[in-house]
Amino acid sequence: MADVVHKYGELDQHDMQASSFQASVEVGTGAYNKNVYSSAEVDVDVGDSMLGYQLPTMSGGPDNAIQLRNSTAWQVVDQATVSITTGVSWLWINTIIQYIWMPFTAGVSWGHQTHFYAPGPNPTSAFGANVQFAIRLDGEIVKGALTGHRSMRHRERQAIRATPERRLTPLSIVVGPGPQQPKSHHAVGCGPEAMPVRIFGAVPVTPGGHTVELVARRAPKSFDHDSPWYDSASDFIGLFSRKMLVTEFPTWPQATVASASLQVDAFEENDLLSAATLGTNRMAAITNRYNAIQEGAIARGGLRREHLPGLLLAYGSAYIDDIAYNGRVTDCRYPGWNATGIFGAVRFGAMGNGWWRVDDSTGVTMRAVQAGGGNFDSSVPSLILILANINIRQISRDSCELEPALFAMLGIGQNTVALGDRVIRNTQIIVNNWNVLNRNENDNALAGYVEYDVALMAVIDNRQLAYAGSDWQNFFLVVSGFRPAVPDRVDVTWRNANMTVLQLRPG
Amino acid sequence: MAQIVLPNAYVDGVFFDADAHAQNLHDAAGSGLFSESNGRLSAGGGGNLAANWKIRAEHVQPGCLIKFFQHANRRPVSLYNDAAPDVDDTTYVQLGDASAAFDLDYAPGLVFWQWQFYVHVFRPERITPNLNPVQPVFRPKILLKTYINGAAIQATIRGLPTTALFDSGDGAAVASASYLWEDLAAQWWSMQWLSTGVLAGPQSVSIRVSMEEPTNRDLWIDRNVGSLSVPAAMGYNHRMFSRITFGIRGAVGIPMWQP
Repeated sequence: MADVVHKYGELDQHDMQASSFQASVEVGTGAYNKNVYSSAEVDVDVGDSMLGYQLPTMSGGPDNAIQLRNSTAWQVVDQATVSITTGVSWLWINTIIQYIWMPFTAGVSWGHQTHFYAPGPNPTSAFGANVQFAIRLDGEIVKGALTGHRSMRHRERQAIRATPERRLTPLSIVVGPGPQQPKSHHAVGCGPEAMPVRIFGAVPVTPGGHTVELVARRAPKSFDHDSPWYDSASDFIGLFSRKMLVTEFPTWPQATVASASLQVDAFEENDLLSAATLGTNRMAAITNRYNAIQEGAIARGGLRREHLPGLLLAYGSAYIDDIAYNGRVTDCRYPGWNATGIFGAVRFGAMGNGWWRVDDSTGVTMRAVQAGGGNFDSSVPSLILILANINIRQISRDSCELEPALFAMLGIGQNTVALGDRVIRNTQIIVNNWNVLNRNENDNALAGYVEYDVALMAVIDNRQLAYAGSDWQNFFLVVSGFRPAVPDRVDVTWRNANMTVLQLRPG
Repeated sequence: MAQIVLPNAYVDGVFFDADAHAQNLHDAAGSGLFSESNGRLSAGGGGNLAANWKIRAEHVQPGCLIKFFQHANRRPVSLYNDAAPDVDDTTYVQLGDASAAFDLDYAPGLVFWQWQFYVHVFRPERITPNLNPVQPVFRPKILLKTYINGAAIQATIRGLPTTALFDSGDGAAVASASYLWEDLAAQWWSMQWLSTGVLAGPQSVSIRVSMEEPTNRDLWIDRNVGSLSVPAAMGYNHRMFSRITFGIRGAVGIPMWQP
């Protein structure tokens, strides 16, 4: 009897029926994970299909756009920073930010960023935005989570090699010794003029308070030019919508529940053995406790996965991989920041206004549904993390006349029982046609491939939704294009894509 | 299993029944306090848990729900197209340090993969045929593909843009202009994939690169062509290659328990 008494408080996996636990036990808030989320939503302010388009500005709101300092020092990005107190844990970090190299020029040859062209003997070489982002944990950059080269002075060879070591003809110029391998420009950060940057990190942490920051800096334009620095009025990086989700998965959780013990007096010499002393006071007392086991009666770490419900409340995924190399095209025009429910009816050839749902080569929209059927339940507190990638191959005009101010807007859509398809507004991101130097053999502009891997991310906290109670049926991607100067047809071409939806437990 | 009910009652005024008491603790049929608490305690309605009982963090055995297997590197690495001479699958070259591999002794159900890298390319194209000998316009292919547990994930195939042009004029052998935009093309890629129905055993993600055959075409480059700045190379015969350079990169595999 004493063994049973002592075991209460140290119950573990061997005492429990695994199948019944896994099927019916409820997971307490924060038992599996804890989520901390910060975000800012910034309209890039490019107008819409009804009132016309303009180049991006810094004043779109509702949250503030940030002008990145033109220095090589890391700058903390506001509203993409979180603090969290942990035990011995892993932190899983997912963050995304939209940047635009500002401002674009206006005028006859408008569309280029002002300092797009590199100085030098040939003006057709281009600089990049050269901006870096990183995840910083307690002041230290997380390994593998810096979007460029670690050294801001890094240069790489151009891979052009002289085949002879010396050559005296035809011009009798003696050069050498040895083959030459000229070094390239100065690519150490992200180059395109408008692009979202998503970064992840997975870091073990010790107990205590931690600060996770998204930081940004700008690398010098080039260290071997006369004017390596930037004019902050005409050459700067604007930071727009951003998100930072940090999820703690405890390894050795600090949290404890009140301990539960069972005390039954041992029989002493000359104690009366009766129905009350043995039955009611001892055996029945023990039985009652085992029929209403308290949370504190389980040993620390006492339950293995066989006893535990899944880590996620729900999950789903979808992908497209059937599109030919040349890609699938839409010319639907961007309906505007707030036009989250306007969808184009025609994919190509009619220049319709609205979002186009990303689809495969047969016209079937890529939708991520819950694995196993049913909807993503909105009635339980949770965070839904959606990560998606799409290969945007080309952003071009119908005439193939190239401009960098041809834009594609993308976003993540949600389908709810109550509202149907809606684009999640703060997931909108913008990319531009950076590849404008391509030429054909007649020296005419040739539609260049931009070959973005566009990363998107959404975080939905269903406790903050106005339409809570309306379950999500699926999630999808949308795309559209626009040209600010004169409304014109812009073709956006995509190829492969995939998305993952994870409904995290609250915490 | 349901609530524990002792099979025998204790009654005052009768001799103590040792067998009945022993049966209250344990018996071959599985009833009794010892027997019930030895793997038969249950949850759910009519089970053995107190009202509002929930799993708490301290109940969970460390590492049994989720693990993180990650790898990263900060050192740049470049691959040239003479190092990966074909676009055929069998000759894809694995990119070091943008991979994760581990072994699981249980079937987690889900593994969520993430990988990310900084990439820029010197992918030249000559846009005017070289007449000596006659060569067509040539654009060597570069492709990236992700493999999970050895299987190619077609949805992750990505190409890379041309980032340099050399114009040798109307049939002239010497390049008269060049266009370079490698800086502008530099990008950060952060990708992901959810594997479902994952069984026990080795798991891996790897990024592989394919680059087409070397151009095998010599190009005469003037010293003043674009920003090449080939020192005193007037009239020099050069050979172009493609290069793909990776900066900081990493990958993580996250097995998630999902029965």
